Amino acid sequence: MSQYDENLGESLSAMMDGEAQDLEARRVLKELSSNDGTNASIIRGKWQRYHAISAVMRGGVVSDVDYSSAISEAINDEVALKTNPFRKILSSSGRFAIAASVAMVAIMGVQQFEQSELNLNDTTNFAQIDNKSVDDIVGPVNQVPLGWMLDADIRAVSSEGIAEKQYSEKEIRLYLAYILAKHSNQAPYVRNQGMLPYARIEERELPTQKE
Amino acid sequence: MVTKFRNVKIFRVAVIMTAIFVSSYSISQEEKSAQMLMRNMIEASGALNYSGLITYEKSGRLKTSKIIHLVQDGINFEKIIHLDGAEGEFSRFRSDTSCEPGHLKTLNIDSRPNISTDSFDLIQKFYSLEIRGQLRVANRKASLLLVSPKDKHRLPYVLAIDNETNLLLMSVILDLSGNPLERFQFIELSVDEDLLSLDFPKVPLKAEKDCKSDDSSIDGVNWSASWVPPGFQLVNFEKNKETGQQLLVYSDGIAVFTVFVESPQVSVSLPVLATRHGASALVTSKIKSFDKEVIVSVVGEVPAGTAKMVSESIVHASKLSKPS
Repeated sequence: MSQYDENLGESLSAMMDGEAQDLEARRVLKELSSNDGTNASIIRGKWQRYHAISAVMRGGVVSDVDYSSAISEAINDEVALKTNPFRKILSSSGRFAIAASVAMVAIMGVQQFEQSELNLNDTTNFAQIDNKSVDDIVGPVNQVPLGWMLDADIRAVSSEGIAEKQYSEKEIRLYLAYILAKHSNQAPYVRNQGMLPYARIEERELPTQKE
Repeated sequence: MVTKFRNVKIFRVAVIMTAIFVSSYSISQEEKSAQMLMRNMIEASGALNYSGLITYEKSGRLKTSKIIHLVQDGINFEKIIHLDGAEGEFSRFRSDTSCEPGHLKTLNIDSRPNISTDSFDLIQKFYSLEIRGQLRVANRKASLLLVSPKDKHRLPYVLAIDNETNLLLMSVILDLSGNPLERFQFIELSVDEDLLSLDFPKVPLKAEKDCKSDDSSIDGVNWSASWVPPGFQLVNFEKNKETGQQLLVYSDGIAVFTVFVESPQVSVSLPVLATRHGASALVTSKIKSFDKEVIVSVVGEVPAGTAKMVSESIVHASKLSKPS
């Protein structure tokens, strides 16, 4: 056994223990891949024996059959897995979509949370005219949509319709503004809303100007 | 064994009773603090000197006004200046002590409680109060108070009450489905010390005259509502001698509605109609009395259906007194 063979044996042993240096491992692999000679089969034999010995020492089962060549052939025959680039994009975008929808849910969740938190503060929404409830409750009387200055269209015709005596739209509007102002002027006598009901009084219809 | 079982039973009952007691106690504590807040707010609004800017929002429109409220020797001075739209301001002196007792005597309604002193009991009876957290209004920390009616004849309110002074900083009136109808809100408020520089204006003699003229105008009032929602009480009535218009004001301590009974002459010119202006419902009805038709208009911060029912219930006093 030459010095080289001896070194090769040591390298193999080191590989077996997982302690082989880079150079040693390369040397062993180089010998294995060279087809010319005995060294490769010697190394394979040694490798097998070492493994058998270690298996026996750990109380394992040693088989006579050599699967290595069959496994090696099976690996060579394996068809390479084809990757579809489109599917790759799709799968990654799918992941993105999921992440996005999670974020969306999180945002909506926060918004809903905020909304429920602020539920009372529907009051912070703009105060709206409530025509619907008037329609619902009051029924078939004339509906007069009133604007801020009572300047919306008024079509109020009494069912009896005494045409010549009826107030004009403008007069009806003035009448409504007048009774609203008078009411607003009364409301502050009930102290519990402080001075706020004064603000309801129309500037055009202030009692001081009217009366 | 029997006594043992009985003991267990007694123990269970005791536990349940304790649980009920504790829970009702904690609920009543919460209610109490809400009621206290409301009470303090009512007191503060009449007792403090304050001035500030308010916004008033209804029907999608916004209006800004300046408010001044000063108190001296039991006399309140109130002034409001409209800051946008047409120019206008309105001021008046008010003295609850000098006017109202006389009022009640001549009105012959002694049995009716005075709305401003007893109103709190009414409020408690017909509204449930609940503190719903804290908020900031006009750069002040405030408590949010939900005032929800116990029946369908009143509207719910959301109030913001200043933690420091108990003044009302925001008042939102909602419809019965919870949509805001109108909103008052302070955007700036100065209280007491800041107002020392403002002199209390001289009370003109007219203030007292107003009381007397109110007294003398009651004589001819001969209409009355045969039905108003429970808790609403007559707080004022007047008769305009020139136009023959009679006016009845009812309140439950928070909500106010005014009934106008027009003279037969004016009534023929008026149609039956219904509308809403912010939180105020305006409803008219035609009432037949002594072969004459009169128009009854009800204006107030109540549901329109309630206003309609009130307007239809107006009867001449002579008819009302007959059955009783």
